Parts: sequence; structure tokens; C-alpha cells
Amino acid sequence: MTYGKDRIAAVILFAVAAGVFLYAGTLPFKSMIFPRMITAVMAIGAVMMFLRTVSIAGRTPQAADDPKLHQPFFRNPLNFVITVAAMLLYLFTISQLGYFTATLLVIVLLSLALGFRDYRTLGLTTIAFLALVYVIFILIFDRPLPQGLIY
Amino acid sequence: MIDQLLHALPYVFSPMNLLAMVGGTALGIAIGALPGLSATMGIAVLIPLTFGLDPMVGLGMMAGIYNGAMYGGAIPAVLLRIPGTPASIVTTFDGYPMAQKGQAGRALQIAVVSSAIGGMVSAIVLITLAPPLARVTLAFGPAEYFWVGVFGLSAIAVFVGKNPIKGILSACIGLLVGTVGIDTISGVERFTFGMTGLYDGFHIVVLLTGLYAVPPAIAMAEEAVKTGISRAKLRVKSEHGMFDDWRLLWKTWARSSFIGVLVGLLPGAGGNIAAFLSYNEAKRASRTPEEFGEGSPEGVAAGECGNNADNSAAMVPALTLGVPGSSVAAVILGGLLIHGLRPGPGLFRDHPDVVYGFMIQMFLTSLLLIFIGGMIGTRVFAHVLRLPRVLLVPLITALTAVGVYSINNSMFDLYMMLAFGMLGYAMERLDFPLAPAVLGLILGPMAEENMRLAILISQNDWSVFITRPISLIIATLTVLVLLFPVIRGFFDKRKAARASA
Repeated sequence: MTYGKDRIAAVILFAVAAGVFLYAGTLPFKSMIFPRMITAVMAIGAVMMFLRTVSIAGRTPQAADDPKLHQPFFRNPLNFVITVAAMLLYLFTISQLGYFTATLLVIVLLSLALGFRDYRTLGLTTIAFLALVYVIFILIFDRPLPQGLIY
Repeated sequence: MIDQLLHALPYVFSPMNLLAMVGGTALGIAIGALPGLSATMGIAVLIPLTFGLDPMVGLGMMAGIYNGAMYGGAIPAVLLRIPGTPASIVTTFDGYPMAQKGQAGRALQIAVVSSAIGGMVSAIVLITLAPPLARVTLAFGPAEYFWVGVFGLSAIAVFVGKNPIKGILSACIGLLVGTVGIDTISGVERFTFGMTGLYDGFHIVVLLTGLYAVPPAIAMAEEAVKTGISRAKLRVKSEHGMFDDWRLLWKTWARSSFIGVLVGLLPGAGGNIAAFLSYNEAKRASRTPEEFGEGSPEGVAAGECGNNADNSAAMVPALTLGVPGSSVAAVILGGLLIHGLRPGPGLFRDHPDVVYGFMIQMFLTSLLLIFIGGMIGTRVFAHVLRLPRVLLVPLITALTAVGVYSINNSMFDLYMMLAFGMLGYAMERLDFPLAPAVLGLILGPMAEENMRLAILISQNDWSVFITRPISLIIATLTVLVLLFPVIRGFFDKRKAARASA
């Protein structure tokens, strides 16, 4: 499994290239040429990437000792899941409650979820950030931000 | 050229522009000083902020962030041996040992002056080279522009990462993303799957922000550093004058500026390569090479001067051909595009004030480094390191959301940004370079449009791509670039065989 990550990536990229190549067949000829050229290169690249992992591992077994190859894909799986889930929820909350309410919630809750416990710094940072966004985006640049149910 | 430069000067010195340059430089230094944040990310996040502003004001801010961040990386490199940006790795070699000897102030002063000098030399090269090169491109037709697109993409794909195959695959991802939307020539929907949000394709800022801002935020969350650096570690004192070392360093500045500019002109080679090459050359030419790595002022000067000398030079191919020399230049190119400014001779003909103004701004923001990043400034900027990095995660998320939303007032764009963020994270973890993907989205539509135009004009004669002399030259260069890893591998093997024999 030394080169497992690269092999999986190569298989996924090949599948995407093949899928898009076939799907492009439904397009008129002139609109199809360029996407098909790209996917052909992409498929060849994916095959080369896959074969390279096989040939390097076969020719130079010591390459398998490269510590980088043994690094896990996620540095900290729990914090990754927390952050991505928070980002997704944040985007959903923006459309429901409005930008400023959602932002207030994400700054406080995500920081706490990631283990930050300096409440004074957290409070001050949250207020300063929201004030800065309000001044720059609403007062100076007059940009519309999602309003939602609250603001 | 002099006329255009003089004409642009009043715009550059308007109060709003000056404010944008000063603000951008200060912001850039702060961004560079924070490990994990880069100039590319800073500009990507702040591009939407420049919507609706005069393009010159927006570009002034970008120029400031670009030059500021390249110096800002030196602050944690000297004080903590943590490079703020990849280009400041070299600064840790001698900057930190100088700080250990109680010369942190002197090291930072050398870093700021060297950065400013490198940046100014680079800007002068940009001002001198870009206009004549833009005139050369007047001879280009659709076939040549197609090859320019392919060449730029091949060069950045092959040279920017460690693995050329991954670079090419990254470029293919960007190119595919660029084909989404209504085909502007035939009017056919491509890969939209009936979603109205995809009819116009993906906006460059959505991709840029997703790829460059979301992965560092996730990385910071994974590291979850909950405390900032203590005040005591950030104490900087110096009884040294700003330019006291000029007699010792002027040769290093000249050599490193030259190397940085050369590296910048080559597509795909970034500031970190310029810094490493400058450092090695400075060590080779020094009378005291044994001091390198032990706290040599020449070492700090070489790295910092080299990485800033790369900045404006990387904009030469970006402004004239639309082919950026580095990932930051690619992001700035995205910034130009969202203001409706297309690189090439048309940019110099139709918007001379903007393009010449931008080149002057690159010079002035380098000069501003000395005033803003000087001793007092550096003391202030060092304190951004007291901010716990885990707090930056939600702040970056919120800032990217407000920026991306303000492009089209679309929630769909925000979800797409997050999707690109996940893609960027996976690419980073698997060592795929991100710049080719961005360039694929920028150059793909241009290359396709010109390819189809060339075929249309030549009445379906595909030989048009290799029969015109300029086309043939660029096509040959493209093949050479693509074969470069194979040729290099061949010579490496021969060298190894000779060494073992």
C-alpha cells in the first residue's frame, strides 16, 4: 500500500477522464473536440501516474522508505471533519439566518470545537471581525450580503 | 513608453491609489508574517473586495500585498526559524542564527532593504521589457495564441511541481473546469447538467478562493495551534542604521536581483527557487563562505533580494501573453480579468494608464517596504504572530464567503467554492501543484477559442498550427518543455553511471 494514495488518485482521474470523454460524445462535433483532447491527455497522464508507482516500487524498493509516502492523507481526521462540517453548515446557515448571524456562530462555535478556550480573545476577535466586515463591505463598498431571517 | 508612464503617474499618485498601496503593503507584510498564509491566498481572498473599485486602486492593493507578503515571510523566519512563506525558507538559514546572536533587528533591516531593492530592480525590468514584448505579440494570430496557451500551460505544469505528470494532470483538471458552461461559439450547453448556476461556467475567483484559501484554513484547523507566540520572543532591538551594510552587500544585491529576475521571467519557477539560487551563488562568491548558515548578513540579503526580484519579472509574460510566471502572478491575472482587462497588446493599447500605472505601483510598493516594513513597522507586524492560528480558521472562512458571494450574489458559488476547496485539499495532500489548474481555467477557454478560430479561418486545414513560422517556433518550444523531464532523466542517469564507474 506504499503508493496506494497515488494509485487511487490515478484510478479516479482515469475514471473521470473516461466518463467525460464518453459524455462529450453527446455534444456537437465542434464543441466536443477540445474536451475530448483534454480527457485523452488526462487519461494518458493517469495511466502513466499509475504505472510510475508500479515501476518505481519495483525498481527501487528503498524508495518505499520515503517517510512522505507513509504520511496519512488526513493530518487530524477529527478536526478535518469538524471543520468541513462547520463550513458546510455555515454556508447553509448564511442563507437561512443571514451573513452576520451565521458568521458570529461559526467564529464562536468552530473555535470552541477546535479546542480554543481563551474566551476574552475569542469575544474581542469576533466583535472586531464583524465590525470590520460591516464597515468595509456594507458602509464603504455597499455590497449586498445574504440577509436571511435575522441579518 | 515614457509618455505613457508620465501619463499614468497622476493616477498612481491619486489619494485613493496611495491609500490602496500603503494598505496593501501593510496587509501583505501581515499576511506574509503569518505562517500558513501566502501572498497567493491573500490576493485570492481580497480580489472580490476590489469589485466596483477603480481597477488601478484594486491593482495597487494587489501589488502591495504581493511585495509586502514576500518580505513579511522573513519576520517569523528570522525571529522563530519558521518561514512565513515558502520563499523565506532560505532566510531562516542565516536570519535565525543572527537573531540568536542578538542581531534580530539587523537581520530584519537587511531583509527589508534587500527585499525592497530586489523588488525595485524587478519592477524596472517589467517596465522595460513588457511594452516591447507586447508589441511582438501583435504578429500573433489565432494559431499562435493557441500555442501560447498550450506552451504556458505545459511550462507551468512541467516546472512548477516535483512531478511533471501530476502537473499535467492538474492542468487537465483546470482545463476541464474551463469547458463547463455555454459554449460561446456554438451556444451549446456543456457539462451543466441542467443547473442554471453553471450556464456561465465557473468564475475564476470561485476556483482561486476554493483552491488557495480553503486548504490552508483546513490545514490550520488540523494543526489547531491554540496559542500565539509570546511577546518576549518577538522582541526586536537594533542600534543599526538601515543602510549601514551597503558596502558589504551591494554585490550580493546586484547578483541576487539578476538571478531573481531571470527566474521570474521563466514560467513555473517561483520565488523560492530564486531565493535558493541566489543564496547558493552568494555563498560561492563570498569571501567568507564558512559564515553561511552561521548568521551571515550576505545569506539573508541574497535570499530576500532574490525572492522579491522574482515578483515583477513574473508579471512580464502574464501582462504581455496572459501566461503568468508564478502562482501569485496567476492570481493577479485573475484579478485583471475580473476587471475586464485582458492581457496582451490590447491591454497596452486600450488601457495604457492601468497597465503602466500597475507597473509603477509594483515599483512604489517595493519602495514602500522600506518605510512600512522598517524597524518600527517590523516590530508592529511581528505581533500578528501573537494571534492564535486556530482563530484564523473561521475568520478565513467568513472572509472567503463574503468575497465569493459578492461576485454574483449567489449562494451556489459559495457551495462551488467549498467543493473546489475539497479538491484543492486533496490535490495538496497528494502533491499535485495547484497553479496549473488555475492556469488551465484561465488559458483553456482562450486556447479553445483560438484553436477553433484558426481552423475556421483555414477552412478546416489543421496544418495551420505548424506551417506558420511563429506557430512552429512556439510548438517546438512546447514539445521541448514537455520532453524536458525525459531529457533531464537521461542526463541524470548518465551522470550517475559515470560517477559509479
